[in-house]
Amino acid sequence: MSFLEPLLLLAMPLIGLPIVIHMLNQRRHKTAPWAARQFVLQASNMGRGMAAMRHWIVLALRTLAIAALIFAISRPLASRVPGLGFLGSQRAQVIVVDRSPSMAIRDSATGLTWREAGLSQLQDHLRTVGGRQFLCQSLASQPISVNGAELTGMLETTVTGTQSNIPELVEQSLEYIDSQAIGPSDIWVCTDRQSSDWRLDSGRWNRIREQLESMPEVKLHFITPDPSTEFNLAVSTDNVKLIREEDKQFVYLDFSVQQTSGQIQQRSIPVHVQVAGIERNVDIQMVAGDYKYQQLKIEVPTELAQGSGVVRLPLDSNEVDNQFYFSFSQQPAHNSVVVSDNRDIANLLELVCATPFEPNTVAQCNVLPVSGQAEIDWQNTALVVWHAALPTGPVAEQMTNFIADGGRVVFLPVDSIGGQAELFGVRWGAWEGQELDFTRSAVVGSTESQVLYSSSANGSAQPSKFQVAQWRTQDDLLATDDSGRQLPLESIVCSRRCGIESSTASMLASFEDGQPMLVRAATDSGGVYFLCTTPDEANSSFTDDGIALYVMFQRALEKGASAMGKSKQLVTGSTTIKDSHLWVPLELNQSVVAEDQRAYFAGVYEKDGEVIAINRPVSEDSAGTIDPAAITKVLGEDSFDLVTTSASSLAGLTNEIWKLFVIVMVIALIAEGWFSLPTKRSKVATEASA
Amino acid sequence: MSNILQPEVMARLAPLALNARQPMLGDVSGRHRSPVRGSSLEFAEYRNYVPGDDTRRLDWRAWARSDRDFIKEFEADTNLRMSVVLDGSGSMNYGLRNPQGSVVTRMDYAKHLAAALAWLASQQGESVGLAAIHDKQPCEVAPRRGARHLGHILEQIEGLKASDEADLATALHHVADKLPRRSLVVVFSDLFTDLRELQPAVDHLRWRKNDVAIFHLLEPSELEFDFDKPVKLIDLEGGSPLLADPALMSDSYRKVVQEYLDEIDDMVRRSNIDYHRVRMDMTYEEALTQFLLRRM
Repeated sequence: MSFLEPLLLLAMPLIGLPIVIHMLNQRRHKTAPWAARQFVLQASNMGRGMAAMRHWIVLALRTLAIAALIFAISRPLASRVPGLGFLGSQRAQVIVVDRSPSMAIRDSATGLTWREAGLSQLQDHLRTVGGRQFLCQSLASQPISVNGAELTGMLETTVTGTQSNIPELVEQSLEYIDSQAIGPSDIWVCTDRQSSDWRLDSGRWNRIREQLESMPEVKLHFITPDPSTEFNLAVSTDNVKLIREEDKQFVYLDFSVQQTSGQIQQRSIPVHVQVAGIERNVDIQMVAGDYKYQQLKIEVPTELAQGSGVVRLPLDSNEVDNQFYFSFSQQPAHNSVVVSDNRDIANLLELVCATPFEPNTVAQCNVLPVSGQAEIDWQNTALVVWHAALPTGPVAEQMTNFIADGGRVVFLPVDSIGGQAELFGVRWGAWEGQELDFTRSAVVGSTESQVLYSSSANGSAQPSKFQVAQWRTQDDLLATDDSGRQLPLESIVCSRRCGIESSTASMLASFEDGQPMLVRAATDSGGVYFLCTTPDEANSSFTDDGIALYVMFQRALEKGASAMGKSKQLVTGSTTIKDSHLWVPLELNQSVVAEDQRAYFAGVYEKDGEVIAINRPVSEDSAGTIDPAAITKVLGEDSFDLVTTSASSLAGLTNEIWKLFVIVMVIALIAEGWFSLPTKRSKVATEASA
Repeated sequence: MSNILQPEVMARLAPLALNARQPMLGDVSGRHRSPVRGSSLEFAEYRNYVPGDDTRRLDWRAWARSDRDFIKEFEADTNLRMSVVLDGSGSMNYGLRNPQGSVVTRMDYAKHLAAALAWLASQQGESVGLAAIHDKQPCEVAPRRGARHLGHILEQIEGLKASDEADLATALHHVADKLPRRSLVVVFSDLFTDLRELQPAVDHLRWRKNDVAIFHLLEPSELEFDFDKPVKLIDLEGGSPLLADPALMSDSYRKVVQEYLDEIDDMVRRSNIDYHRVRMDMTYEEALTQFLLRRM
């Protein structure tokens, strides 16, 4: 139980007052002469039990009445928050709001969203407990004071179009409490526990745990809703292209509809697509929890060089994820540069890069020797294949800018790796293995699972071979194709490989021994890849079945080319967005979004002739929520408490229950009066019966 | 007249007669029936003549009708010997302050009753004696008639003081032994004694054909135990003080008292004694009046 005026509990020793008064009364007796001693002695020896019990009951009731009075004036709270402890105006209240789109799910019974329900309950609690109140949310660098404010109506608590970074917000709150010496505080995190917002793999949780341990006066409370049963669909687009076919021009797009909550059943969903003023309705049949529509083809005017559009779903429980904006522009040329002194490898890569997926795409590959790296036209290049030692100096700087503009670079190792140079947090390790002949003519036999190649190495009876074992199929260069087929990487065998050393890069493919085959360096934009071997026959079997190699490089080239186009597809909340204040809204309703917050709300904008579509991260549409055990694992058992609320029930987090204690006191006093009433005295018969 | 007698009270009581409930054996003629035949005008019975009877008492008319000899007998009237027994134990000193501000102890109350009764008996020509029960200062005056004797009796009564313990049962046995048979024995006491010992003493008195009357004097507070706060009770007979909490024991106390009174009622029924339970908030004149009237 918690109390708003806990200091008044110091008066609790007063419950001993009736006992003290009773004992004093026992001592303050008067003296009287007495003759009938024998009766007193007999009466003392008989029948005291009930009278004594009645006496103690009266004392107990008086004690209870005083205790109830003290409890009542201490303003007790009945709370659904375990371990709330003592409250009071001396404790500060920090409210952390998850403003992610998933918080906009609306309960059909109350008409309230999760955000509104959680904040409403929290607001009632804050009105009860008082104290200084601060709001911490993702669009402000530090908490703001919100004493007594109507939380649900504040712009600072509305749902945005981007993910929340819950660990960052909690850490921000803790640092604020610490730096401002706020003292005893409660941090209330209003969130839906969506895994993409919680980022349990973030190192921040460890720091939060340490901070909480060092700040025992701070309590962390999570207010989370019950899993929603409301029906909700989310839509997203992918692979939007503007393609000219003869004398016509078409926009091709793929879109996905995913059911995030509610009962899965077959139903027809009308999808509304709007492209450059042209509208199209598509009915899809949802059978399972998701649906992917591929290659929706919409004819657009031939003079259209760029544009934007939106895919919309009918209204459901979450209106924020019912539309997804996209932009498109004419495909720029797929220009690539191969930097290599190895003529064979250069020719191979030139062939791969100069052959685009789409026959109408203009593709050009420029092969440069290492000495000619200064000639690279960074502005008009989508992909750079770097088969040379890692660049340093001005070239490295140019490459960094190229990456920041969305370009792609694939690094291949050379025999002379150039010392311990490091770029984008990655450096080459040592070579291992020996050359094999992976040409078709070198096949000497085969088994059911693999082809046997001849070895050019002398004196080695058992040459080492490295087989690709795992690779990332969800996205990026090695993703499965649109029909769900995987790239044939299992047939790739390397005879030589170069080590890749990095603590930040993410692995896209690895060998059986866990060593990386292909990694992607951590960058804010663009893409930097490191392949551990070269595609020539001496080091790998990439050329034996060139599909994997071709798809990898074409995907990189396509991504790089799209970054060069006059359209951009951005994700809200991205840290790389620096100039959103310069964006011009292309839709009327986006004008209401403040200039400095455009990067956090979905919409389409224009800047310097470039069309920008910005949307929530697709991971926000995931139905995955983390369970309390996972939170306990990262924070420890005693560091927090979790309050599950329901949007359909607005029972307060805390309620003052002093009235209950007043009732208890009144009942105790009435009972005390009843027990104190003189008993019906047995009248002594004074008339003799004889 | 002694200070213990109040003339106005005695004037009101004077018309009331003190009667015996059974034949008495007096030493002179009086107003009470005697167990022996006498020469009063009240016919008693016929009996057969036996040689030696006074022929003057033959009923000639009966002889003429039946030709048989009958002796006609008449009742004898006699006076009575009354012995006043006063309990002198310390418990007789108990009394509460009355509304007039004075304290009337049980002993005071008993003295007024005893003196008034002695005066009334003496006025009727009865013999009056006194026995004051006290372990250390017993007082015993044999029943006699006469104004001088009454004066002596009243003087003794007035001088009595209650203190310490007194063995009422033993004293009554002693009175039973000393008194002539067929006397009126009037006991004034609080009867705070062991009833198992008192019963034989009363039976002893009754076996001696005495008319036994007991004035059981009780202060109302002793019956009700109506203290409102814990009280330290000082024993009037020298026992150790007792601390009593009325909240805890008043019910039990009343129950004990009721049981005690019930036992007395049983004793009264068994012994056929004239028992009067007197609450001391009643005037002694009223108590005495009720006593006399019940004997009419």
